[in-house]
Amino acid sequence: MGKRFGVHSNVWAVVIAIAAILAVPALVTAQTTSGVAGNKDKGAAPKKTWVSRTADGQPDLQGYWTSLSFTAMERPAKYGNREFLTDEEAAQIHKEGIQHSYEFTFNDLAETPVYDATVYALSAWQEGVAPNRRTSLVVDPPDGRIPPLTPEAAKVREAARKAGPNQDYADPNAPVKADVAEDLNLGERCLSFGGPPILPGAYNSNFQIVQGTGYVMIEYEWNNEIRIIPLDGRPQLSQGLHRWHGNSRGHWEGNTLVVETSNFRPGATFQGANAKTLKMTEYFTRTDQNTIEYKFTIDDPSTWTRPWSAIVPLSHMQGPIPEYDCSENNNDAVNILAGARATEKAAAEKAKNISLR
Amino acid sequence: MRVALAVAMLVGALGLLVTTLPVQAHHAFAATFDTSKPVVVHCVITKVELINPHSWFWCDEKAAGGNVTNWGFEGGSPNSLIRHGVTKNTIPVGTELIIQGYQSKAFEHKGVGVNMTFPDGRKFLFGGSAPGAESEVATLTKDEIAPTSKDDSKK
Repeated sequence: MGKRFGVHSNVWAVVIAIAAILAVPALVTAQTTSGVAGNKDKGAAPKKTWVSRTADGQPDLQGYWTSLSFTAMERPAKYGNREFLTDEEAAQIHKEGIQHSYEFTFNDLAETPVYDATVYALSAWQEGVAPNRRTSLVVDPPDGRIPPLTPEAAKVREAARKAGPNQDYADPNAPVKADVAEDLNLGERCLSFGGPPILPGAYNSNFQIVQGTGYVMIEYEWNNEIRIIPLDGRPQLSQGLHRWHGNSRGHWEGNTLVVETSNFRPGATFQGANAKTLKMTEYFTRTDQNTIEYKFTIDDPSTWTRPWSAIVPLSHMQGPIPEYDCSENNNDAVNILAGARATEKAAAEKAKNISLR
Repeated sequence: MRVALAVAMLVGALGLLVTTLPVQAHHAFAATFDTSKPVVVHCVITKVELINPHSWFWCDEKAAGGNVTNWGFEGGSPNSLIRHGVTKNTIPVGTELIIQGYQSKAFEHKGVGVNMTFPDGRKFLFGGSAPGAESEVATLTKDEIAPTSKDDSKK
């Protein structure tokens, strides 16, 4: 219970901060210019930007967006170094992404051990996912694959996998090593669903961007997690301060919002990166009324052998974002722990029966 | 249509494990539910909880001898349901349903819902909102509708 209120006090602090941001006069958008931004992506068509401005002249990124996507994080081998699909291929993959859910539902009605993503309306296309011409979200290295881990990071990850409470569920049939609630992962405990970066999740991958003078606020639907990004050039926090979503500082480069983040919290980093050395840079560019091109670059020399980048298209969606009270009704913590005990008990009885024979 | 859509969405899905999406979900299916225990329960709704991180649907199953068992089925996050106009009253208490799902590892009468079907065979879909989904209603076969043992429910 104490933990629950601890979380809430943080949330209230953020809510108050947002209220302060929202207290600025309403932003009036006016479409002013459109043009072509510089393009660093080999083989890509020139990147168009669509610029609407807030009352104080910032490019307007405000609204409700979803990061859901049918595009794989890493590029399937069949595409090699090919970065883009044809329009026909992109349309086909999008269609298959939708259709596959239907086939799944009706071909594997009772045997496939996953939730039904089609019949019950949480499929990505229902939340506004748009076709994507990229063959992978990862755009650098050129092969579209996340670079190898450093030897040290690989050792740490393997040790954690062996000793840890099966938090990544890499093997869905492995017993869950969870003795107490603290052994559950951060999401299962409703503490944080992570980020940055912004990536497609299974569902609820939606968020709202609000801009006030000197700030940008990003609220994730999942767990109502909030990032408040100052744009006034203030220095980073001291190295001893660590936050769930790291600490971000933003600035504009042309029509692109650039957000640099460090000061991550150990145990709450993207893919287990080293909180001390991880630096992330995000680039938000509105390319048309309904799309933000969102690029992020991960630089953590103690975890990956080189920096790498990915581009996730953010599609406009209908708001608002409903409240997401997670801790208050989190039956899963109980059910997972009880499941772990039931599995242990069954295994013990099986062993006992074998020894009696 | 609104009711059809609402019912269709009510149990809710957790993971888009069938797509190429990088999957992130609130919790892993296998941590809580037993894939070797599919269940089909004919029951009457007693309570609907549109709560995060997962909705829960409670219903009474009446055995031939008159004994009543209250089941609880986990569904998806209500946020998408709410976004599509579903409310707590969309499936009123007293609604008769066939719920297909998987049993919990620890609790005999808890599970995760996969499908909801009305006794007359109507299985609710999204209607025409999806390419290729022309029909609002699909009909299950008699075998699919009939109460079955756990083994029989495997298709």
